[in-house]
Amino acid sequence: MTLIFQIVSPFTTIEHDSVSMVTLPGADGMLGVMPKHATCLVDLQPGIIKIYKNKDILKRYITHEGVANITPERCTVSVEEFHEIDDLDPKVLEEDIKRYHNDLAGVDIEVEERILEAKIKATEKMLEVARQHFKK
Amino acid sequence: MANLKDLRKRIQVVKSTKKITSAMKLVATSYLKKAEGRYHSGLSYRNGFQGVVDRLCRNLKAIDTEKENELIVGRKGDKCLLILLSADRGLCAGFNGNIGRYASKRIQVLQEAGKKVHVLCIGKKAAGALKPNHKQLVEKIISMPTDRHYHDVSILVEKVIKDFYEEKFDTCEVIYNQFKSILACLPRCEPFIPVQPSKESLQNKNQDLYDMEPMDDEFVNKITTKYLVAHLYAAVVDSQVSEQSSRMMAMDSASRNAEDLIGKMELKYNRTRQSIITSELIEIISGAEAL
Repeated sequence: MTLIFQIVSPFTTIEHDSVSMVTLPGADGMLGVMPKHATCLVDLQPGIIKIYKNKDILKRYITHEGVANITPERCTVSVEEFHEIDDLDPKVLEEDIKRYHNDLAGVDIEVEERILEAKIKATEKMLEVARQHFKK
Repeated sequence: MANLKDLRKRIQVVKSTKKITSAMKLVATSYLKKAEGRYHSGLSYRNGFQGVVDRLCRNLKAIDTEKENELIVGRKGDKCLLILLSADRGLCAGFNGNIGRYASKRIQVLQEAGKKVHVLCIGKKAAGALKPNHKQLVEKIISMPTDRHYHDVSILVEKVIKDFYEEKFDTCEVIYNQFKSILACLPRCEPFIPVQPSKESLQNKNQDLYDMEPMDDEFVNKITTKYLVAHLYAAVVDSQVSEQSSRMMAMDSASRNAEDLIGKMELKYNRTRQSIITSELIEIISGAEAL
């Protein structure tokens, strides 16, 4: 018995068939999803998603905050941004944060300010998670 | 009979026009490929959230909320906001005209039902394609740069939600050109606020009850906002891919038309030149015979 795992962002979609287990960074703590998991919606915070196939880690993705839609056969994660951790250079995230700060300096609309601040917060958290991962 | 110099000039003009339309066709093809990538990802992202929202709408009563979420359950009222998506530029056949006419029809239907309609245009061209008496309903025209669609859509949706809670409108619909194939795109109107479950979800009545972590207002609001952003983003990229395919087809037919025109004019030019030569020869021969 296996699980289909899909991760979607506005810019990329990746699907893995035949996954044994997925661990997700839930807002209330880490969460393991295996085949026949109860149907649920989970709030995700920035962190690392690990995909297991036969006890081995198949892939690791670092993600922005989002939502996971879990059914017994499928786990769909919808996030604004994600990166495969082995391909990620923390400098990219640092540059993103710098760019958001520059954008924030030139913004005078309250809504845009709020969105940029949320982006900075989420990217900083992603950077923190990435740094912790690379330390290990 | 047109003189040779004029014909030569006209042939040159049509040839330069053909060069421009061919170049524009190549540019539109390249944009179309990029837009298709964004379109598929945008659609998957929206479908991901649609599944979540379908479940959310079904299980709303089980969620511990302080008050009903008006973005999902809706609100009674007669003010309707239409978000109209079009292109910023022309030269894309009937793309802008079709959406303008479709929007005018929708406005008429809503007005006949006693609704007060306001229009928000994304793209500069749609407002011009509306019927003259509907142009005054346009509140704002926004232009959206290609490279930062998602960011701009997030900001726009936040503003729309803010206006909804300030009771500036009670329902909202999105009108855009839906991409069917490179040859065809159809105008489409979709309800935006209140959030609607998909048709499949309404037909399938045997869905499990959902657990939610956490089960509170904040999470429901987060999902609803993200779904609305995903919905509008999918519509924007859908409209953009339709625009590029329309422009590509329009430029292709313009190039072929220019080719036909050049062929016809060259034939005319050669006939005229030949007739001038013939008449000159006749003059020389008749002159020689007279001597």
